[in-house]
Amino acid sequence: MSAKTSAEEPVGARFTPSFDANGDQVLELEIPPRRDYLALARQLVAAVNVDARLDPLRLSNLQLAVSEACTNAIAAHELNGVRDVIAIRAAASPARVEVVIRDQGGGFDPSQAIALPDPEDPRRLEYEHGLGLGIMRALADQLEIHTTHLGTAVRMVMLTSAPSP
Amino acid sequence: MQVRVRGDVDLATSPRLRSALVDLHQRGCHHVEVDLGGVEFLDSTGIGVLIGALRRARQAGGELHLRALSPELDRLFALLGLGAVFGIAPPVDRAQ
Repeated sequence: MSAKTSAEEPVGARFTPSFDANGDQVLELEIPPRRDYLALARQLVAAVNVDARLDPLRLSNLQLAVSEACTNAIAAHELNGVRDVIAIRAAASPARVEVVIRDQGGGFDPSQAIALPDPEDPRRLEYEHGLGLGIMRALADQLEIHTTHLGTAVRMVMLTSAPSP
Repeated sequence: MQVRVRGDVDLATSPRLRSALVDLHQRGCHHVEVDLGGVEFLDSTGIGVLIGALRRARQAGGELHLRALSPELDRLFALLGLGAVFGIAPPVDRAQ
């Protein structure tokens, strides 16, 4: 039972459920920066919504937004050859579900984010990438992105009832 | 030619969808219907694959149509301003 694992290469995911000081559920998940763990990250969001405070549409929107953040994190780790874990923390309170995704993938320059042409512009079809950030912005009720040369933290909040327009 | 897509389309699986669509294109099939009725999850990488396939089809004088979008996918394409790109009618808002 002493299969040796490299300290650099995380094997499997680590899941830690707990409760915060208010008695609200907190689920933490560390995943290797591998594409086949994206589905697990989405399941974490469903799991923290066990009391169904988010309706099905808002839950699926949050799952997509979280998946996009994890996709960017995995891509950053792949690009820079970083094997460290990506940490996802999901917390549910009566008013909101908050998810924070932290990677160690070396960060990015937000000013270099792709500006997509208008949908009417024929050149729109030349862009197959760069949609992830737009999806996060469009779907999350709150979105904060902190990026340094070490990595990126994305915090997103979905309120349990839709904010008034 | 109709392509039926099922399950989750994300960064892990969208390369397979891309290969299948590129393969069809290379075999001269430029009129493609992509049936998304069995799709449970579609992310930006999957949408990117569909955009690329639409571009290749049109460049070859063909077209790519999306079929059987769920209400969630309908809304997502509309939100991203891609409904018009794919020729999808705007979703009917039933949330009165």
